[in-house]
Amino acid sequence: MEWEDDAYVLSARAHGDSGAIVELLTSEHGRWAAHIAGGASRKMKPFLQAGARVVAQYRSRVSEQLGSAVLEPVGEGPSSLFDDPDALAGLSAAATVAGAALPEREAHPGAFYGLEALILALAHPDIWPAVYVRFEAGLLQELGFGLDLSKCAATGSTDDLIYVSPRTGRAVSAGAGEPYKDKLLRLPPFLLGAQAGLRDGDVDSGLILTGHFLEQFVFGPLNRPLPPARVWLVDRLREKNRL
Amino acid sequence: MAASAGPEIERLIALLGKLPGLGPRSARRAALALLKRKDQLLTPLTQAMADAGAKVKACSSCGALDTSEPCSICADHSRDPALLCVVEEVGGLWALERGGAFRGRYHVLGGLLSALDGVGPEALRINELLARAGDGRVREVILALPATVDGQTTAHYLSEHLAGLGVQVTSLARGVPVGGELDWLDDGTIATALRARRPA
Repeated sequence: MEWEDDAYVLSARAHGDSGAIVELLTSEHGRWAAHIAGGASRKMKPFLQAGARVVAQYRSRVSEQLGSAVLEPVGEGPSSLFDDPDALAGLSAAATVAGAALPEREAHPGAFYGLEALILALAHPDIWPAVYVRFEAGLLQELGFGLDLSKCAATGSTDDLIYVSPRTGRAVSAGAGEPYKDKLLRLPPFLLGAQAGLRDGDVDSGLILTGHFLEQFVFGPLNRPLPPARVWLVDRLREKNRL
Repeated sequence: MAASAGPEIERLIALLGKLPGLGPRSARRAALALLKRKDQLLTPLTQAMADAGAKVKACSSCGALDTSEPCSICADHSRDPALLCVVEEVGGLWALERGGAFRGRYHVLGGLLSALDGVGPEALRINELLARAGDGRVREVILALPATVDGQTTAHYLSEHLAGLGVQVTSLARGVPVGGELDWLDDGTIATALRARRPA
């Protein structure tokens, strides 16, 4: 089996003295693990880190077995974020959530492009937390648990959508949701359209929303909690009043 | 073959094969070399390993490995107690000592914060570091941590927690290594070096 694809490194672990096992999120092949010969070398180490963009050439003799890959780095990689602890936390959370949520060897181009959009946005401190929320919403969509924010689940109205049902993930309008507002999740306007702008508390609401459905639909059935990196990210942003 | 060499030799090969840099074949060669040179290699090595196992301990102050408590670096009065260099593991300490450029003291963290592996601050020797940095004798804490996502996440965490202790917090420079040629460097290193440029 052989292919070449654009990819982001999600994680890398040392394997033996000189190799590494890398987990990639590719544009056409989904999440894929591969052995990297010489992965512990000084030449390879800089881009065997979460967030590094690479072109991967993958090869395996038997498709079911772990194959090997040759990686060609593209661009600067995560070192551009080294001076920004919040962005590093965002990158770690995104890579960890994608690595834990996406099934292996299943094409999810939306997840790849969502991660790409987030990584490009990480250089812009004012907007990336909202882009992170959109990344998680996109991940849910890729996994078949997308939020239906097109109209109110109760009335069919497309106006005043300010809640989401925690059970179905469908939008609920202000009027229809009023009696149940304590049980409904708040829908931040930026998830309805990029033009909506960001207000205080919107990112927090977005993270609560996507976190709820990631827990309910993705990690809950696997009997796993949300990854610690994601919890740390929310704690960090909350602590810094960036939500 | 090892299978016909007896259980003692097999066990020796298996244990040697667990060492970094040694696979099953090289472990077999190493075992053979040890057994061929019993008096010169095997017996002294056995003794050295027994001594190391019995006497080497992690220093309660800095976390370095040594046979004395406190370790020879912490006990060395010629070293500057106002300078504290934080390293990930003992290997980093040895690397800095090899260079001989640093004459302060060390603090071995015992790992890095890792989002992927769920390694949090409580798993590292961070409270010990904060206690040392806040004891009034330390003037500067140098964060000599890897230029990786986990390394820099840990460095930021430490600098945030050291900020209130009245010590200067610095970190190692990142950029072009000595002897490095630009056309062999990765894009990240070049970009980092450009950002960290200084007047010539």
